[in-house]
Amino acid sequence: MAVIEKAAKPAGSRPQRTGRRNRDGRLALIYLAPGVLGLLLFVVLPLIGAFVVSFFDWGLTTGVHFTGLANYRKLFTKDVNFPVVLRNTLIFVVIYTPLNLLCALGMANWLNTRVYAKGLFRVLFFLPVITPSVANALVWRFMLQQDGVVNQVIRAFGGHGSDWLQDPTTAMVWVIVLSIWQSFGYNLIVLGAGLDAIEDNLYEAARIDGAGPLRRFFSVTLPMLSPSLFFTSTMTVISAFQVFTQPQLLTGGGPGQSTNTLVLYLYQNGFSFDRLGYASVIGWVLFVMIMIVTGVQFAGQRRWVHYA
Amino acid sequence: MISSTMMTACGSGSATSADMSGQMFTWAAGSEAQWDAFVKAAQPQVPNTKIKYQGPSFSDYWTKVKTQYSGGSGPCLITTQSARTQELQPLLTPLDDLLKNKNVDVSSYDASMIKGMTVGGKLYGLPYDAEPFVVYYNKDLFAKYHIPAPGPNFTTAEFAAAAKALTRDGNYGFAPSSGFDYFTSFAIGNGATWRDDAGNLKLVNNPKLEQVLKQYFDLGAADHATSEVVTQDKTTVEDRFSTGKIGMIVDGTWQYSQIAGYKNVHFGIAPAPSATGNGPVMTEGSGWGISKTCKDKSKALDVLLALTSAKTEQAVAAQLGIMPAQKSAQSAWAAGKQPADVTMLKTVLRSTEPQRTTPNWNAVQTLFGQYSPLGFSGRQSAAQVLQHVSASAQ
Repeated sequence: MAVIEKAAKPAGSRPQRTGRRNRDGRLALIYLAPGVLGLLLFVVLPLIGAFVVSFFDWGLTTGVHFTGLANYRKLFTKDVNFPVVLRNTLIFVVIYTPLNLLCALGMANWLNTRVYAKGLFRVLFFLPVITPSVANALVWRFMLQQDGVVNQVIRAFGGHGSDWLQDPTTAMVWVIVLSIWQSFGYNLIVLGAGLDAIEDNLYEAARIDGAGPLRRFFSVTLPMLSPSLFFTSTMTVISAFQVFTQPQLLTGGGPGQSTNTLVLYLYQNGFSFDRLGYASVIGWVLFVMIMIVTGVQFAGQRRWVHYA
Repeated sequence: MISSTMMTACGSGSATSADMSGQMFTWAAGSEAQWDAFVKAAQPQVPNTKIKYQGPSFSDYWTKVKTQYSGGSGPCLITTQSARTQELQPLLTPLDDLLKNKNVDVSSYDASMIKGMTVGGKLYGLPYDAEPFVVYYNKDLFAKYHIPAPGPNFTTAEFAAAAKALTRDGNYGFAPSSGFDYFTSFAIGNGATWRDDAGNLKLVNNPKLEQVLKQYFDLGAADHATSEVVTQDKTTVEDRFSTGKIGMIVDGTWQYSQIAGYKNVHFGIAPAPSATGNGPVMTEGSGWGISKTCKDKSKALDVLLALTSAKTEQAVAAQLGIMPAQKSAQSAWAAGKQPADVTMLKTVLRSTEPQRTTPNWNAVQTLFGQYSPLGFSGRQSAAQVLQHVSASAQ
């Protein structure tokens, strides 16, 4: 039996398979090399570097002094701004993410119906994504200043207007509004593509079974769109944690600390206040937070994401 | 082969360093006309060294200059300001010995600027301008509401009264800037300081400063005589003034030429307000220091002396309207100016005081910019704002 088996196996089969596996491995390595190299150079290495720097009092002009855990202690026990900045960031994430996704999903659904010139609308909604953030923020800033368009319209209707960006109760609202306007177009394109990919026969079958528009949306559209929704929600949460340009250009983090966010605070500490070690600690806290939230999102996806 | 390569590399390095002697790092982007004027006037005085400039915009400069030199190299000349010398001092070489070797007498420069560029008893820069802070006022608005125009003894009380009287019909008496620099001109005129004797920041337990800041914020919080606070990084108080709806702004004389270009605004100048009406008026000025990393400091000093010579400053003053730091060149400022303003400026210069800063000035500026709108709107008191800025800047 053993002899027959041995005879049945073609000679040299194992070396051939191993050789192919080696070749495939090498090929994969070549394909992966640019990406892995980029990841190592521009993500892993800076992360390690920032971790090391976080144990130093490191100034661009004031020199480098080892301080152990002092930066961490200061952040968690002494810095009165950090809890405010953290709260602002969480408020931004919690409000911006669902509103962004709702806008994108609503518009994508609307554009998925028989809308005239839907291509034009898609381009229009996508335009703020590709225009420079600086230009966007400046235009909004001019619109929202004391004599800006917004106040002029309000005054034309008999109102008084407001110092929108210098009032701590409204400044964050405008930072969120600008951020949604500027970025929901990207999610709209992704979700629109997801909607296009849902086959009509699924809706047809649902209609035959007597499902109304709402039922079809919740029982067909959403489950079929769940991979796209998972992707957009994950990316939107990450970008929300990293919000910087909008508060930096619209309000500079003010008035007071009312619109200061983690990345802006990190930037201020690193480059305006010359505290690179302290900025590195903030960077690491942000990194850990994003890792945890993204990990939770990935773990939770098994329950609601349906891959066809 | 290896040694020849190494020699070539060293040779190339030396050549680069030599080239750096005539180069300056400055707020180049957007200010090319100014630097071109300096280079054009100074180049013939140092024919063997090519003068060049590079750098970001003014708003990015104070951050970029540190990152540039933290790499251990950069152009030999670093543009600085009297107010920023304390902050940039770790990047700069003391000039005292170098100047002594070349027998240069700095008494030809404006004394307040030399004082401003001196840190710990050592001189770190030479100035090209010495600009006092003045009030630019809209003559038409003052005439329209029959308010006496600011005179050579403009007091803080008169300033506040005028701002209040001008705020009507959609006009605002005063457009405040969020910058701490602008408040310091008010503080100097009203006898307050923001530093202790050792030159460190002293914002809390400083009753005089708190009282003057309250006075400043009350222009908005109590008198409602101010427009919204102008955050200087993207728009300026000059932009607001150009609308013709602002009665007064306070800024340095370096803005004179720009304001003179506003066709629809007839303006005059007066000393920045002070408690007594006799000053002192704060001066700010810019200049250059020599980088610590500069290989040929002597050669760089030759370029620095050419850039700040009376001849150069006179030429640039005549072309762009800067107020030269070289005293003998200051008369050139009058070229093309309104005669009444020239007379007024002579009065302004009778008593000047340089703005002095602290090593953490960039943080103070950033934080005051964030908190001052809360002060002008009355949401936070002067004491609270000072407390927040002080705590966060340390």
